[in-house]
Amino acid sequence: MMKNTFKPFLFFLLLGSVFVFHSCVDQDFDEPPGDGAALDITPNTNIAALKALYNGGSITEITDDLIIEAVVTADDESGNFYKKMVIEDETGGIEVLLNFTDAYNDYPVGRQVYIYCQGLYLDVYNDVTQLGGGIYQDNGSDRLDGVEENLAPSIILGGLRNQFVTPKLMNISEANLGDLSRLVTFESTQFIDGEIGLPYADAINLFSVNRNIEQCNDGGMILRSSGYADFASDIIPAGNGSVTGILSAFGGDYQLFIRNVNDVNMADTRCDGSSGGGGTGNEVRVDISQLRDEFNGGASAAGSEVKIQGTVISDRIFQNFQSRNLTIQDGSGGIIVRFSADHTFDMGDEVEIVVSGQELSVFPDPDGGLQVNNVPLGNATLISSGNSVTPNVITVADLLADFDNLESTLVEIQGATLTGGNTYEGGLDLTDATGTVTMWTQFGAFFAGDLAPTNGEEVTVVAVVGEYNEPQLSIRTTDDVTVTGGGGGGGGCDVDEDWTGGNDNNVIDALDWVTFDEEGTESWKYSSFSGDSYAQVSGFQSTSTDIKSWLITPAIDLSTPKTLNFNTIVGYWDHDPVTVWVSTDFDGSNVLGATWTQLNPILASGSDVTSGNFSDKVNSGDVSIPGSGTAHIAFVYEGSNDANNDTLFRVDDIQVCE
Amino acid sequence: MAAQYSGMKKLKLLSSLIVICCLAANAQDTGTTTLPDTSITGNIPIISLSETELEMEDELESISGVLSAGTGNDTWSRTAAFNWGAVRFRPRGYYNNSTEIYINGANMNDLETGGTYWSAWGGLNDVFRYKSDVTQGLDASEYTFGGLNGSAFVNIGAHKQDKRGNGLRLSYANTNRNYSHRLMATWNPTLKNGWALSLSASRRWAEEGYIQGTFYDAYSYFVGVEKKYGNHTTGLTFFGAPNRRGKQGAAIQEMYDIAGTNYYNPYWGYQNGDKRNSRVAKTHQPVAILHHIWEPKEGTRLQLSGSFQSGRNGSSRLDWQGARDPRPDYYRYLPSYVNDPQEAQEVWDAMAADENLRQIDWEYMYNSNRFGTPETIMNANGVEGNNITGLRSKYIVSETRYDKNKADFNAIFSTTFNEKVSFNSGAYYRWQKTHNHNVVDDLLGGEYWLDVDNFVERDFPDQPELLNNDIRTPNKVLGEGDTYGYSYYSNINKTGAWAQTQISLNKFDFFLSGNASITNFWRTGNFQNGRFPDSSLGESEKQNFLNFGAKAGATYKINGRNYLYANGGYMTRPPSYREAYLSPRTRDELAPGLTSEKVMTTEGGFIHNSPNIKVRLTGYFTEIHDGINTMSFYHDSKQTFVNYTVNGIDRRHFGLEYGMEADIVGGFSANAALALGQYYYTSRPTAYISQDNSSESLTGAGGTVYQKNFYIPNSPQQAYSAGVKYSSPKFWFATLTFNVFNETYLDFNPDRRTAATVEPVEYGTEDWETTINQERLKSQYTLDLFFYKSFKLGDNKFASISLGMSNILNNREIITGGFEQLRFDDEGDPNRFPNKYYYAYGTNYFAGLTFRL
Repeated sequence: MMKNTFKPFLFFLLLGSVFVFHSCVDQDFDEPPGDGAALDITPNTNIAALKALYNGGSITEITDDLIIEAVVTADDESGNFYKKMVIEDETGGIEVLLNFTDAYNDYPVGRQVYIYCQGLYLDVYNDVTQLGGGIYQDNGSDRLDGVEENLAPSIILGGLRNQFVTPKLMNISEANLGDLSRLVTFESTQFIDGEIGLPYADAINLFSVNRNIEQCNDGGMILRSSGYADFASDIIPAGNGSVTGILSAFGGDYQLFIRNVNDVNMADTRCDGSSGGGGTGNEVRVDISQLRDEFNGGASAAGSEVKIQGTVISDRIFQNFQSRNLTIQDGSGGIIVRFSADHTFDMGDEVEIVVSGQELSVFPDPDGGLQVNNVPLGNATLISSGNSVTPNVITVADLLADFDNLESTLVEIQGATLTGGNTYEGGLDLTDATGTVTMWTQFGAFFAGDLAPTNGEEVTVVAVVGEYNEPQLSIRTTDDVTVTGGGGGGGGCDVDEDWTGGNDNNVIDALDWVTFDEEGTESWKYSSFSGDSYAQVSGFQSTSTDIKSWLITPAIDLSTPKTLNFNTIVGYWDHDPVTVWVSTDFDGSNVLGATWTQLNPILASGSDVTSGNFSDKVNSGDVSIPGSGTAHIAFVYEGSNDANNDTLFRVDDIQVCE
Repeated sequence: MAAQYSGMKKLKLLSSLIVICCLAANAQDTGTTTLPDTSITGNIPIISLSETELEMEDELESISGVLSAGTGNDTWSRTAAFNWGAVRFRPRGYYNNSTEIYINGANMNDLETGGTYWSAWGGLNDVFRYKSDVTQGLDASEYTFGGLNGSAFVNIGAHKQDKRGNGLRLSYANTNRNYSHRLMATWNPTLKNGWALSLSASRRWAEEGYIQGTFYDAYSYFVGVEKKYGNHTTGLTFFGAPNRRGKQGAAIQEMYDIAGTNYYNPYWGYQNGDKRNSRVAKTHQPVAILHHIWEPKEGTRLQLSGSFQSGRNGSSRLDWQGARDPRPDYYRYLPSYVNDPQEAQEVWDAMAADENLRQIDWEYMYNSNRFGTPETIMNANGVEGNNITGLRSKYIVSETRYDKNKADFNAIFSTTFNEKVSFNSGAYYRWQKTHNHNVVDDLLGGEYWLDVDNFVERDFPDQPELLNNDIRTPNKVLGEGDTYGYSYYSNINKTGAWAQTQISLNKFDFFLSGNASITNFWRTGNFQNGRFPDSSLGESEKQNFLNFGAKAGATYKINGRNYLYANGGYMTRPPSYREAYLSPRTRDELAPGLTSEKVMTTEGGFIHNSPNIKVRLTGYFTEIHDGINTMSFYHDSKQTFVNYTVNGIDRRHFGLEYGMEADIVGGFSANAALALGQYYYTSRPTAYISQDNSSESLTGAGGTVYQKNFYIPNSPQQAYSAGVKYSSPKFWFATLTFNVFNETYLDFNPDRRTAATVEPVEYGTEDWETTINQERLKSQYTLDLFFYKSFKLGDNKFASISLGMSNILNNREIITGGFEQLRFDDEGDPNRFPNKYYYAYGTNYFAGLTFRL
């Protein structure tokens, strides 16, 4: 018989042993040692000799056991070089094609590399010699392929780091084929006059762009940058100085590729002694109100060596402001800055702008907004982003009374109503208890077609004060208009339907609306996208070969005249499927028994699809409803599941109002 | 006992053990249809995460525990567990959310997924081997209404352990499966005055499991206290199972071929000569349960339970910015991607010769981080002028966390009116709040991580304001342990009640049950995402679902040895939280068409039980309608990360189960088991695609998914077994079983079955077939051996040895499942992103030695 203490003893002994074994599964890892040690490899040739092996006609395989030693002069970190790097030894430089990305983590600029060349290939592309790992077919011709990721470790061995090559100092006119793929520096160099203020490349469309550099008293050259480079949207400098990069060639022209913007040091005055528009550095900051005071009619000039600084209160994204115009405000006031090209400053950016000697004028003359005109982009410097300006809360009467001081500043008007249209587009009347002023929205603004709260709702509006023959307000986005109450009923709307709350893909069942499938079973259904709901029909992949589907509004009382307004969208447009009809004898159920008269509102069509598969919302315009008594409006979709007849169609924001 | 036929208790008990065991196998099988570990931080690198991570886990380990309990027999269930588990057989093709699991009255199903995380008590086999009441299919349980595939009601109160436990139990096992060694100790000291105490602990570990680079490091502990006074019993149970383990990843066949083994694992690599796994699961979610049982009179019982579970559950992976994909099996690094055939061969040879090229290169990642150019982050953490300069990590190990807090209150009442009629009912409230977020785990030699979205950098280069994952703190500079990417709570409440009556007559038994529940859930965002500033922060709208179920059954007792029974039921199930939001990491936008699943099911069968022969034959037919499936992946033709929701998924499961066992002669017996099923989809659901980092929809409706008649994947639909057993009077027995598996189908990518995707592929070509056909895996076979012997050491003192050898013919070609990659080449080359597979182990064993003292 075992003692009573034996069992617990055994139990806890085993429990204890569990922890003895704890170390059995060691999952603590030390950092591995760093690389970058010198390699004991003896090169047996050099880059110049290697390049000479190219047979002059076609891609040449290197059959001998050749080893070169070189240092990386350009890598792919900035994105200006893609799937390649450039290396150099005393005899010259060469491009090495790689079939993988982000190689700068393995072979950064300054790293010593040894390349085992046997089995690699040489090609010459537009005079530039390239070293690659294979050949592939492209439209029937041979192309040089990069070294594969899994082969690189045994072909390209990385040695010491930070062995930076000293660039070869030369004049632009001295560029020669022998120095292609070398790291070179040109001094006393500048971008040509016409390009100051422009970005290096097109980061939006990802296009490479050629800029032109020139050396004082010497030649010029193309400086080419990739749209994928992380500096593509940076503005090229206006001054003069040195530029370093890889000498390359294309189509018989020499080109320079920088590695990143640190390769461009152009802080000096230009060859002609000017600052290139970027200022002298000696400018004195003046208040915006002080600058405004210098305007004395016509085209006045700002003082010499002055700059202003302020916060951007205009918006460029939603395009209710001119793409070259910027409205900035400081503590003293605001002003429009009109650049010589489209700018990239966003609402909330704090910018400093050199305005020495710039034209001060009004547009349109004489009753327009005061602007500093034709300012080179290079004159503007971004200080910080994400700032905000608190709008000045005023009444319309205040605005009109103190207009000159309020122009180009941000104001807020409370307790106002908007009238004079359904959408934002054009001029709406903004009225508060003290008066009325125009709220102007450009035709091209993204929100121009959006429905505005013009049914008597009380609104608060934040806007930039402007002048175009008369005082006006410009909102930046529809977020600037906040409905604070009431209204709605003001106009007496019989129908005001935006389909909010419908269940997607369910047949429309909003109160008093009628759906009717004359042919097929593809009824009008709810659909939503990005928080906005629609009534929708699409023939795509329908089971119905012929579709004729009706969507009919609730009853409309025509004892007072009514106007129809709505928005439509087409998707995957291949035909115009929808027609709009009105009936004054529809009994609420017998669709085909009623008499229908066609209306001609503006409907979205294929030409409204400018990008992607969907159009933007297209406004119908105001359509007055003919007849008397009680009317119903019908939207009739006709199409099929045929691929040429199955356009998706959406109807939204339907209002029938006085 | 809820059995519909008397005398079946033993059978039920064992079958239940086995159901549990099978379910354990399923517990890890999350299926490609749900996306358990979907944590795209909006980063191209993490694409593989959007695909299923089938995980080899504990499915096999409980076998010896179960067998040494060794009583009774249900051939079919036993075979399904021991012999079919290796190929991930799922009974009736159901998923893991079909069974309700209770421990001491507390519900253990996860409210986010409906499934059960068995690892919460992994290693506590000694305690959990006793299962009180398990029902399969629609059978009535006196504790709960149950799920589509029944319920398991586990009573591990200390008094029960005391009765069964023989005081002290010590065991050691050695295996070559997930882990190498297991130590378990359980002690149930004898106490007085109605007190009972049960203690158990275990450790399981392996430097490397069967699969390369998978380590295993698991502990478990259990404390149960119970006190009886009069007709009351009160108990407190506390247990947990902290564990860490390295995971296995599915791979494409090209990688298996290059590696020369079907047990290749892409997740690990050498660091300083040791194997380091990039995917480490680390979990510790202890559970405390308080229960009270009152039995005022014979046949009447009130059980109250309250439980709380809380802890961390995480899984690591690599994340990266400004650097290339570090995964060794990334398609651009493989021979099949190389244009030049000669160079392709060189790549193949290099990868075959150098293991490091097939595995993760930790040193490269450290070097990339350590030798980068120091970068200055202006206005770091949103603080103006706070400019931080340092080495920004390009690669990190990040941990995706699902830290759960769950509470459950359950009341169960049973009474018998007379010998013929009994009544059961219950009510419950369940609450779960799970913190879903990403944590920087290891900066790999760098100094900080910048919390921005790479996809935005690429998709919207002119809108840097969208970049920040939390615009309230722009330019977030993070160190190890910091949360990044996303952070939100899922909140789920479920309240319900059920009632049931059972009637037992001479020839017939009947039961009728009904339940109703209200589930509501919502999301609480902790980050204000730059892409979704209006829908990411704070509490979302609550979603409410009212669900109900009803079921009934009858048993006809032909005589004491032959029974016929039939059950039928209808129930609705709320959509799973994981499927309900398009992209819960970033916003609260709901998946379109959210609705409850409807389940109609019937089953019936025949049972024969005589001393020399036992037969069970069951047929079932189940329809499940209105399923929903949400996933995220890189869409090649849209060229961006997308959220992809498919709704209106209907399924049908029907089939036969047959089990037979017969004594032959002189200790020999023969057994056979058969599962003949058809599980497939019966609808053409609708897909919706939206861009992950933009509220702009890509196409609105994504179109019809032509998946009607596609098979439910990743379980054999047909399995056959035949075996012999020899039982010696000298306390040992041995079994030998041969198994055949048929009709296993791979999980498929719904997007490949839409008109838009198939359009560019030429009709009728091989590519066209490959694009739309579902891959059927080859038929397979295994041979398994099991041996068990016990020794009597003294009064109530025993030792036993057990040895299980599975797949002794060493068949290494058994694909247990896998999936089509969700990424699909937009030019219609179906082989650009080939299918990924998992292989079953070759010959493997489990040898155990146990002392009961």
